[in-house]
Amino acid sequence: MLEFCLHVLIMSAIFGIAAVSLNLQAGTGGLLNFGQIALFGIGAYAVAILTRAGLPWPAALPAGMAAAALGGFAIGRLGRDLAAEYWALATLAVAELVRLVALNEDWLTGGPQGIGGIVGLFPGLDGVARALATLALAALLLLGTALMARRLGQTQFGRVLRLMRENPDLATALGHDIVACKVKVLAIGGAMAGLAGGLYTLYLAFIGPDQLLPFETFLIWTMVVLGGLGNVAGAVVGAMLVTTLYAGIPFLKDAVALPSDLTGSLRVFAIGSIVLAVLMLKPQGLVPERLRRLHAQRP
Amino acid sequence: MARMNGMTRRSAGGALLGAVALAMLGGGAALAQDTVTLGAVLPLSGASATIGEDQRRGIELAVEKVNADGGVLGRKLAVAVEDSGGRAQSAIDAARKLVSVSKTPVVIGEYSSGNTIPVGQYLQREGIVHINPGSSSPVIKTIGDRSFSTIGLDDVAGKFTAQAVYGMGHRKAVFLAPNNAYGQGVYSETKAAFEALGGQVVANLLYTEGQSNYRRELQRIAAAKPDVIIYSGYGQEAATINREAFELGLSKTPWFGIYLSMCTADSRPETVEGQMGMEVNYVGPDGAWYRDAYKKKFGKEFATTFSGYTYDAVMMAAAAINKAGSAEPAKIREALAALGDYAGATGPIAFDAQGQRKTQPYIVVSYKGGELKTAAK
Amino acid sequence: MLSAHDVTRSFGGLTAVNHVSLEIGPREIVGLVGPNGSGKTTLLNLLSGFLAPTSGEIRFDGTTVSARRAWQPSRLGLRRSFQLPKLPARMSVLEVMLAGGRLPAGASPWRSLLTPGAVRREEAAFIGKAMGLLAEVDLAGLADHPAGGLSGGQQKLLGLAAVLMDDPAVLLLDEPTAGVNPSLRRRMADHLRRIREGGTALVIVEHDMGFIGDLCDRCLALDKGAVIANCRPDELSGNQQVVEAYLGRRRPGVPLRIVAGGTVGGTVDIRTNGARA
Repeated sequence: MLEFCLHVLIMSAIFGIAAVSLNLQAGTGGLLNFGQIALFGIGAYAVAILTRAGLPWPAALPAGMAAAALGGFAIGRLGRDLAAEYWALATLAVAELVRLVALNEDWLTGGPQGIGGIVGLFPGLDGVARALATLALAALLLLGTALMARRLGQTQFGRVLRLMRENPDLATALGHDIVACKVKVLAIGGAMAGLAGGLYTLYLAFIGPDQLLPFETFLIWTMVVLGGLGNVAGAVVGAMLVTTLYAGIPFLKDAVALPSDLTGSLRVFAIGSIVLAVLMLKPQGLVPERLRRLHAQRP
Repeated sequence: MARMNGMTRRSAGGALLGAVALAMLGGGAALAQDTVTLGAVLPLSGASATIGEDQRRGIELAVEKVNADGGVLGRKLAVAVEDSGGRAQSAIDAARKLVSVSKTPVVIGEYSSGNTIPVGQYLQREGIVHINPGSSSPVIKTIGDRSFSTIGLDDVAGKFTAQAVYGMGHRKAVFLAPNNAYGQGVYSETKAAFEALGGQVVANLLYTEGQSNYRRELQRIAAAKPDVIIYSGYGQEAATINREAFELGLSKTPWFGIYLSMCTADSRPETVEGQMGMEVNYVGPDGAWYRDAYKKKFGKEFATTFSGYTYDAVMMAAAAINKAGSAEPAKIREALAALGDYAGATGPIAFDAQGQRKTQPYIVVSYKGGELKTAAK
Repeated sequence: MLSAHDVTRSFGGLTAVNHVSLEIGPREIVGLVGPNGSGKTTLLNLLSGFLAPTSGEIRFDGTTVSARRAWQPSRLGLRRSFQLPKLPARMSVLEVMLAGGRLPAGASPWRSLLTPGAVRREEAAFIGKAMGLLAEVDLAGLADHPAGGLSGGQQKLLGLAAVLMDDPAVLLLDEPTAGVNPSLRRRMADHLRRIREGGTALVIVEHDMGFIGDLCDRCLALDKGAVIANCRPDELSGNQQVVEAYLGRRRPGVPLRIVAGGTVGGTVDIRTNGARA
């Protein structure tokens, strides 16, 4: 049971990083990125390909992050003139393109079977020790990412993003280049998502195109919305909640000794009900965005 | 909805989280000591739910049979079935639950190669025996020595298909299948076998799934003027393809479907009339008991061709445990590898050096008069 | 300082601004008046760089505004306010003020993360400036209040204060008194005078003729996209074209005489002998 709990915590931390990334783009910047899984996936595949080619993971991870940052930069630049909703659909299309490239280019990506048998983190350790070491690394990286996201939200950079989110014309009138802001936040968010993807691949020792389906983007959106859009701590809480829910729901059927032919139905029903319940009880999310009290900080 | 005050909302939210946590802790309690429990990961929800349910039925019947025959090691047999939701991540989570919490020595699963492969690789790393009852991608051969398959992989299916098509006199073929692990696997194996016999695959159309029409692919097929169109596809999609082929007049060219029952499941009869194909034999020579038991318990004939494989997986695992005299994964693995010829419900099963099924009793079928008939061969 | 040279702007078949030329000198307060649909707002959008002219050129401080990106004129010292501020509900008054300023260290993601001390010092300096500007419009007490939660009049004052954070040379104001009560209007006029004393030129689009009369050095009157008058505010009511633009053409042959006029509660009240078409 301990190992399973450690597994859930590790997955929570990894998806926490992906959620913090999306929160920065969507929560702070108001950008409807429906292609988040593609940025995650670019990092994941880059790390898989590089480690398979012999590069050690401490070098492969930053490379994966850089590749994903480039991806974020690209969707920001390419869609710079699109209105919000159209850009959102464009990101969805780009994500599908990335998945199709992963599916088809078997010489690079292993095709539909993906890339497996990756060496992974801490191969010298075993069992619980390995899980603890992995958790420590993931938690540390999550903390670093969250603190960075929080800091960026607090300074003028975050301020301009939030103004861009609420009233882009006013932001422009106050002298801010909102296209440049958008591109920067997408590149930063991309790097974070790429980190999450790289860790994911190293931990599971596998990545395949099926893990880049649009459903996965919407799962990350669920984490951010349930947790609290615009709040970094909220994104982390949301990631933990959704990950624990998906992994832990099977225990519910054990607890009520349900016959196995009802397993599938209970899972779908329970997850749906809980998500709905959270949304109805807390429409702003579990940890809503808070107004910054700058004046109180004044010397 | 009437606004609840802060206290009520917070306590309701807390209660919800508490329930899940409690279930996790309580539900993880050790399973009864007088039972040997195996595990299974199946797509009980999601796009493949129909097949997942049928796979589950195979397990249910096998458990009943084993226990009626005295159980394993003098104890009852049970199989903990987890839902993969058709998703790789959930499949992996389910496998981890079975291994870390339920401590099953064997895990059976899944259906999609994209899920079976990561699950199998995880089980291999953990030293747990893996039995694949539903995926046919040749990559499964590489999972490791703890992984076995009760279903024939695409190389076996490909060889059979190539021989059947060549035997009908066709020399110039085109190949049409979904662009996923399954389609790519079955294409490369069939093409290799067909060309080894002297035939030629002049075009391959691995189509992106989920399109609203497939005219572009069909027109390219028509342009290639093949002797035969070898194809495979899942229910709804295949229905669209068959309908459009019929409308384009392409159904006059011979069609050969791999797993023809799957290809024609949702197609309108007139669009597939006359198609030939191969199919797994629902049951082998020793499967009569299984067929009757299935019909008795569930009221009708097999829903899909997949229930027999999970049935055989459980039966073989039970046999291996009894032979090894132990429920330790390493001993079960040895016993399973040395089981030799096993008379399964889906036919005689023997594992090759890589734990894969050596022969698969396929049959050639044809679609005539609205249903599949075994072709005289 | 700010000049328009034969500027025209069309939207499809409609010519909103028709061959307009004008000049704004430093520290001038210039009013821009005209009936609805005369092209005042379009001209303001052209002058501030929000819109590009169909032909002609806008020049500011030696550079061509119309050739720049929408956000650049603001950086060069040419700023504008909005008729409907629509300030964000999830940002505080002080945050909006800071957004109006130029904080290069805080705006850079690298420096935000790597040089926290410099960023903190920069922000503290600007907070000081912001609180000073807020005090001038009596909003200092609401510094941490959500900006979108302020009343309409307060939001306008905040909008005015925020654009001052970057010490603009020219400020274009779009109907600053729209929806604002009389006492606040007086405070606003005083505030604008102080802004001019501080070195900023103002161009004010307005309907409130009393406000214009009190404040402006001169007025430009627009009608159907063209400038029809460029004179002192008190000369406006004597200008035939301007009166006709506001009230409609007179019947040919009948002289239009103003029989009474004056300021009643801030609007010009013109009574004529009823000779209207």
